[in-house]
This record gives sequence, C-alpha cells and structure tokens, in this order.
Amino acid sequence: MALAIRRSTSEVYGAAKWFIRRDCRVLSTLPEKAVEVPVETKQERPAVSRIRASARNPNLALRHVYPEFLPDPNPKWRNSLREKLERIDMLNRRKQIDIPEFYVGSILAVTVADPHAQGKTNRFVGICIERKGAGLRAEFTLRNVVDHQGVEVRYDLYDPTVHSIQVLRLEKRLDEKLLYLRDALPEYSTFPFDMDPEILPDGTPVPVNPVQVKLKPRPWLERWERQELQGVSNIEEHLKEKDRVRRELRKEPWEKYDLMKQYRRTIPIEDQNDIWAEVNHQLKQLQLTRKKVSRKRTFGVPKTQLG
Amino acid sequence: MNQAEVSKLVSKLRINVPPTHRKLRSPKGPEGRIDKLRKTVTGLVKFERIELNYNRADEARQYTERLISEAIRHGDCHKPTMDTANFWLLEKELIHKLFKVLVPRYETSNSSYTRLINAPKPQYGRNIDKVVLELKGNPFPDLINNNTNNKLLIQNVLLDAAKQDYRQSKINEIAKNIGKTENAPLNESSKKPEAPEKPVES
Amino acid sequence: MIPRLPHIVQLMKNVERNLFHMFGYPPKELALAYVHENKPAAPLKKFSIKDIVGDGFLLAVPKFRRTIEKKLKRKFGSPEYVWKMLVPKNNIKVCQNCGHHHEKGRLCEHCYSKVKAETEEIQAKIKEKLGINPIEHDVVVLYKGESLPDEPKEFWKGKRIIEMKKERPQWFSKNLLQKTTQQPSESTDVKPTDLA
Repeated sequence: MALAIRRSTSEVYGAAKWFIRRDCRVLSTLPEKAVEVPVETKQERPAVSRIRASARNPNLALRHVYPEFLPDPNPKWRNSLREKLERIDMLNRRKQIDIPEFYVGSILAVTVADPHAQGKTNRFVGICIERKGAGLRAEFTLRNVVDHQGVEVRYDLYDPTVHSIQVLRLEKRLDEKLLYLRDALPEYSTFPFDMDPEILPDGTPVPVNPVQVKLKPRPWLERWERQELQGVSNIEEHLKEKDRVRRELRKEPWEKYDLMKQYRRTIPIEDQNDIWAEVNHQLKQLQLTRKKVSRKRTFGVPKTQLG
Repeated sequence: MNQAEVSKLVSKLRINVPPTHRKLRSPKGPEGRIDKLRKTVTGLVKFERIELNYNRADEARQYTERLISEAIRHGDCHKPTMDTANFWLLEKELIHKLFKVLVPRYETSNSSYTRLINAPKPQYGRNIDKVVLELKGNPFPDLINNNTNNKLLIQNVLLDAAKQDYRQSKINEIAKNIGKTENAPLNESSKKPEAPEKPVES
Repeated sequence: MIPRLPHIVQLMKNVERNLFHMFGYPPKELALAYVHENKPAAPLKKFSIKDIVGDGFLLAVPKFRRTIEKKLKRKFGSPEYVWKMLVPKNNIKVCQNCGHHHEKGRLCEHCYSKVKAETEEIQAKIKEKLGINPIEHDVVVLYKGESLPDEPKEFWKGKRIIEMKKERPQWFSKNLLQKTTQQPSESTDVKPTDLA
C-alpha cells in the first residue's frame, strides 16, 4: 500500500513536470562533495591554473554513473585504440537496450535469454553487491535468497543475451561492496521476485540507505573486521581478543596518504575529460530518447503499449 | 581487470610514472618505505636541490609532484590536502612553504615541478647511480649551462679561423685585381659584404 | 687321581731327561753339525724420499682435458654476463663549458663540483638567515656589489633577500630569468637550399 502511494505521488509529480516543461536534469547523482569544488583563493591571480580549470569540468560527474567507460588504470592493460573501440561498442549496445543508472546496493531485475527456461527467458531479482570491470567486460553481481538458499548471479553489463535491466529500487549503501551480505542474516538479502519498481521523482539525489546488517556467527568467508565496514552493526560481538589484537597489528594508517597508490588506481582528470568529451553527447542523447519513450508510455494511447 | 576508482580525482602528473612502485629496502616493510620517502620529500622541499641514489630519488620525485599538484588544485583551505601535507612534510614550517611559496611558483607552469639529472659517476669505487633532484625555479646556479657561444670552444675557434682565412684571401684577390684592371670596382664592392657570412652557414 | 697321572708322567720324563743330560747323554756324536757365525750388524740407512716414491706415484690431478671454450670463458669472461676485458667507453663527451670530459647523459664532474659547492654555500646561508621561522616567501640571492634588478616594487615585495659576502662567480649567470633561446624571426621568406 505504501508502495502504491509512493508510486502514485511520484507519477503525479512527473506529470506536473511534464506540464510545466521544466528542464529536466540529465543525471540524478549526488552533488559532488567538498572534494570536487575547487577552493577559491582570496587573492586573484592573473593566470588561472590549468589544473584547477580542468578539475571544474562538469562532465566529470558522469564517472559515478558510467564507471565502466573509464579504462583499467593498470598501464599493462591500457590500449587507447581498443578502449576507443570498446566505448563505441558500449554506446551501440546502449542504443539497443536501456542500461539504467544503478549503484552497489540498488535492487535490480535482469531478464536474460535462456534456451532451457520456459519461455526462453529467465528473470532474476536481487541486490547488486558488486560492480567491477572496465569497458565491455564490466559486470555486476546480484544476490537474493531463494527458498532459504542464497543465490548469486554475475551478469555482464554488455552481454548480448541480456534482454532488459530494470532498477526496482535505486539507492546506495554505506559501503563500496556488499560482499558481507553472504555472511549476514538471510533477511538482509531476501527480496521478492514480484517487487514493484519504485520511481524516484526527477532531480532527487540518489538516496543512501543507512541500514546496518547483522552478521551470522563465525566462521566467515572473509575477515570482515579488518575491512572497516560501515554497514555492519554487530561485528564486535563475534570477535575474540586475539582478533582485535591482530586487527590492530594489520592496520595500515599510512595507506591513505600514499599519493602514488591513489594515482595508480585512478584515471587522471585530464584523461577523463577527453573520455567524457567523447561520449558525453551520445550519452545525453540516449538519456533524452529514453525519457521521451517513458513519457509516451505513461501518457500515450493504450494501443501503443503493445510492446 | 579492475575498475578505475571514481571516489577520488587526481590531476595528471607531467612526469613518466612507472607502472608499479619500487620497493625500498627497509626492515619495517611498506611503512619503512613510506618513512624513507617522507624524509626525502621533506629534504627536497626544504633544500630545493639534493643529491641521492636514483631509485629513491625517482620515487620521491613522484610523491613530491603529487603533493604539489594536490596543493595547487585544492589550496590551503581543504582539510584532506592539509592532512596529506602534514603527513609528508616532517618539518611543519615547510607546510607554509608548500602553500605560500611553491603553489604560486608552479600554478601557471605547464611542465613538471621537479627536475631529475644524472650526477657524474665516480670513476672508482661503488658504482651507484647518483642523481640530482631539484625543484624548478630554485635560486641556485643552473646545473646544465648550455653555453654554445663560448669563444674558446673548438668549433668556434675553427670557424673564426676559417672566416679569417676567407677574408684574407678575398682581400688579396682584390689587391691583385686593382693592379690589373681599373674597370672592376663595381663588381668587387657588391661582393665584399657577402664574403664573411658564407662559412658560417655551411 | 686319574687326571693328575699324565702330569706326573710328564714330570718324571722331565727329571729323567735332565738327569741324562747332566751325565752326557745322548752322546755328542749323535749331535747335529752346527757352525756358529757372528754376523756383522747392518749399517743404519738414512731415510730418503726415494724409498717411498720409488718409480713414482699419483697425486689428485685433472683426469680430463679442459676444453678450449671453457678455458677462454674462464680467461676472458662472457660478453653476455661478465666480460673481463677492458672495454673502451664510447659515451664520453666534451663539456661545452669547461672542456673536461664527462659521460653522455650525465653532468660534467668539473662543472658540477663548482655548482655543488656554491649551492651548499647558498643553502647554508639561507638556513642561517631563516632559522626555524615558517617559510613564506621566495628567495633572491644577491652577491657583493649587486643591487636588485629593475622590476616593479610589487615583484620584490615579501621576497627573502640572501646576500652573499663575495663576488658573483663568473660562471653563475646573473639574469637567470632571461630566456636563453632566440625568438623565432618574423620574416617568412626562406632561402632556397639544395639548388645545385
């Protein structure tokens, strides 16, 4: 019931927007934190620093939505031509199916072609616990509990057998990866297959779900206590004194100051600007066409809704 | 296959970055490596020109470049950058230097902030590659002083002598012609100024 | 009683023989002919190594011949790994400034020693003047008898001026801020080359 109310209100909101013909925001990401905003110095200097100018590019915000467009930072795997071709292929694939914006922690429904299934398709619903890989090899993992049995399915984002990817609930969690759900109580990764999609009104930032899961007692698959997880509430209950001591010994407080380690893990701003300048226009076009199609679906004549 | 980290943004370095880090030998392991590099970075920012082994210099150079580029990008009102500067510069008065001296110095530059030059190898003794690592724009005398206008250079001495010879031969020729014919001053006057320039071009 | 019997018999026999011997029995005619000779003692021989060696004996020695290849490798080393011969260096250049020789891609040792000494002197001076105060301004080095170059006053505002109590070295160019390279000329006409 609550879902229905939420959905109807959001539809009303969307309709209002349609009539007002407000400029719609293309991306519904969180506004960048303080890191992104270049600090203005009090005294004005004659020549603007190149570094600061390049960091002000608004296209850089795209990296949260389309992280797979950035290449693997390891120079061993870099190849500018291959990366460019992959980007073209990715855009072509995105013209074929709608690959929506989603994050680790969002709940997705994926339909793939399956020759052995009834009706030749298989639909799986689950929470995205991991998203990795660059280029055409980008992948994500969905987790759900089916008949008291945890199930995880790894999908390639640009797999041609994928029929559709639908976001049922768009949200983020407190951590970058939710692999600890494997050791958490099953209710935290149980989602009904007939879940209704929750539509967020346009322009709202992606909500962060602050839920903290409870872990099952040990043994665990990984040493979660050493990973400084935000989304786990009862990790201290299961630890012995020995584990706490070892956690302290294993800490690497200097790592966050290791500037070159950070550098080798990221794509520098200047390189990113080139990439986003290349794909930005087409991505925006795609988004606009999707929006028009969805409006037609909501307000059009029922005859057009055959597909 | 990895995905690039998107939570942090870094500006590109203007130096060549090797694909992996170097291990600097230390009994304390990775922490000891960072400690060594902190000392070197502090020394470089303090003295602006230091001489040390190649391996350590090349690593410290990368960290210094990153530190300066972070300082330029965020300025001194950004807390994480200030923390980083506090971590890397062991002498705290150098934090002032980083933000008040080095940032204005390099803000508009389009090249790297440091220079790495191979120091002369000792002819005898341990054969270790030493380098001189310096911040650009320091007040010290230049390391590479490419002075090709030096008159005593052998090439310049030879060129001068060649010019002199050519001029002498021309004068002798003119002197001979004056005695023989009296109707030739027009031709010689036009030739004269061209003569000394020819050997320089060739 | 019986075990002692042979003992007694033996004893009796001994007594009998000794008695007969005393009275000249058996007679000397039946004795063996024997001539007693006094042999001269053999002279002591001095020890000599030849006694042991004799015709000769074997030490631990190589059993097989070392091949020529191995011999040469041992002598000269291997060019791929360790080459023991002296190799001429082809990367020696003449310094443009002082005329000393130096390796290509490295600083000239002669020039660098001068620069290093001067640098250390200036560094010491800077350290002495500054102490432990926070460093907030750039440094300008002035030698004896030099004044600030002609720049607007704002340029010098807040700069730390370090004065060296000696003449400026000849090789230390004064106008470091000036460009050394020539500006490209404005003229567009190009002289023809490779005509003849």
